[in-house]
Amino acid sequence: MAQRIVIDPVTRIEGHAKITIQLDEDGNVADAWFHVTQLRGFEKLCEGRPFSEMPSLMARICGICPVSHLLASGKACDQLLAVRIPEPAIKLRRLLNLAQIVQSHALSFFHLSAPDLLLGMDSDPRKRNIFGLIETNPQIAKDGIRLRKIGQTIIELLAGKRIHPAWVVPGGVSEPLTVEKRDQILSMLPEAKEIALRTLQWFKRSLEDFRDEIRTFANFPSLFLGLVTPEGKWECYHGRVRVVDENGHIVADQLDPTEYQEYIGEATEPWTYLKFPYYKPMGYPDGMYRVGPLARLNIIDGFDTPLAEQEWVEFRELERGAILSSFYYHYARLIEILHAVEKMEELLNDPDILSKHVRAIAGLNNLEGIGVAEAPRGILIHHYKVNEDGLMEWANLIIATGHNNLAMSKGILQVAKHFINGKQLNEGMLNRVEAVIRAFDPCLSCSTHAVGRMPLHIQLIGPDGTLLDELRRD
Amino acid sequence: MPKVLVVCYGNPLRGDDGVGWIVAEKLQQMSLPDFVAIQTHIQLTPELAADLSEADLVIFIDACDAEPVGVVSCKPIVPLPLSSSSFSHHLTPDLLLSHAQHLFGRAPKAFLISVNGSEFGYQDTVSPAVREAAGKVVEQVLRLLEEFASQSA
Repeated sequence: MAQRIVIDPVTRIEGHAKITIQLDEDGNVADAWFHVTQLRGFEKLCEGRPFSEMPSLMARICGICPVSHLLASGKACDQLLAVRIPEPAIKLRRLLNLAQIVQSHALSFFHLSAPDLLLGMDSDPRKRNIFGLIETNPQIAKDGIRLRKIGQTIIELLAGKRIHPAWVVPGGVSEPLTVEKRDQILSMLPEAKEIALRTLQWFKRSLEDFRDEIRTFANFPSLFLGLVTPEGKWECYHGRVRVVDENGHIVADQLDPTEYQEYIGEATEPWTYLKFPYYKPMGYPDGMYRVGPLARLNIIDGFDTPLAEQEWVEFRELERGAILSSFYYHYARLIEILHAVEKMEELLNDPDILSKHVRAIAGLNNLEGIGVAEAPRGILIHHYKVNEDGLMEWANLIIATGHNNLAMSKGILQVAKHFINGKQLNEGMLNRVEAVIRAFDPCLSCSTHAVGRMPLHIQLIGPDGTLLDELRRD
Repeated sequence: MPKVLVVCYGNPLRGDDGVGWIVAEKLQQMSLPDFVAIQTHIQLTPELAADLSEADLVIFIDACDAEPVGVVSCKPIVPLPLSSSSFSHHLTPDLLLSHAQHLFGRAPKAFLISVNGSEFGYQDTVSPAVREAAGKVVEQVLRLLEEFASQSA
């Protein structure tokens, strides 16, 4: 008799999701679905508002990655003004994005995934959490908090701590950086670098313990997509789109990100609110691609900072072509933290960063604008249309979690096939199904503030809808 | 100097969930003592534990989905014991206090002021009853600050 296992909701990811695993007559995994059961209503909320409000409004989409939305929105509005923003403003915005990458990756690695990595996938679920981490590895837990704090403090120093932050504005940024703030930020970076290097060394030593997970965590051929510089280096703010295949070969390069509709399609399915973007030339679903840290490290020709470059060279030696296992998202995140810290140091030591010329002033000159940047979880697209009065008429946001939707579902199927035989449920194997999702670090919270606790709920359901088994972890 | 931290959190684009931000605005317009710091957050995040550990009093302000709408409640909170909780993306004030206690060796005295709300859809305004309740929250915060000041004197 065919059965379904439902994991609802998935814990330790941002927002709410449900996993359904379909078993065949023999109790083997036949298929898997990743459902997003919350509706994002932001595009609708924007309609009728002045475009100038968009950056600060969009920053409130999410409590974890507000800066990503702030930047993509700011860039879309720059296009509405049809201005070329001053170079110091670009550097300041880039600095803000790098700080965001540090704090967001720190949350994902240290707080959401480290309990699995340090305490083991089969450890007692009551202890496989941040408190278990505090008890067994307080230094790692403290490092995570410290990195988060450093990233957040830099964001506050740059963007201010007002109730309605609006530092990133159409045309640039509202205020230049002061010497005092620059020095304050610079003083925090050596510690951040030390934490990044220390964690990388520990993580690389532990990889041997996760051979099974590396082999089975969304380890399959796919495309990888993201921004690169004109020279093919890592990029998080401007840049052009590059697509590589599973062999690491470039499929498309230097694509204009504002022409994304030419090469990215969005498919829908009736069982989820989250769309399925795909690479148009290969069709749906063959055009499945991955974005985010792993993708970025697969598409680039290298970093332009020495320590990250050294780590990247070692990382790419893991496989001949692209690195395919999504377990390595964690590894990629740590290298990106290191690069972000190095790059911030470089930017802050550039005298131009203190320039007072940080904003181009203009009125509405375009009725359509597209802003694209690399968010911590992958490429983020904001696309706006306004009327002659500058009021929003239409918005389309493609978030990183959407780009990864096809790959996440396929990853769940792969890990479920390996770890679930349908005969019994146990915490370790179910946690692996969840952990493969956490490797992508999906951010589903956009606009949601959870109320109350989020328990883990697993249901085993027969083909006639009968509940056969149930497991709940509060 | 003793420090008081007022942490107002919730999503201002989810209707009544944004009441904390309204309270924060009201408090910032007042002449509060220098030792009072006000923070706004869409959600609670782990690094807040460091700030908590450096405060003597923390007041959390949030909305909750409960009846009757507009009712304000205030209760003291203490760190959760380590073994009794699981961790998800959702952090609660008592979990944060635990973080502060176990990572930084110190958890402050803390209160949670909650406002009962009912409208949590996609909107940037709160319901009339919740807006009115924001004033009561401010009064409650001022009472807690007075008590704190008299005890610290």
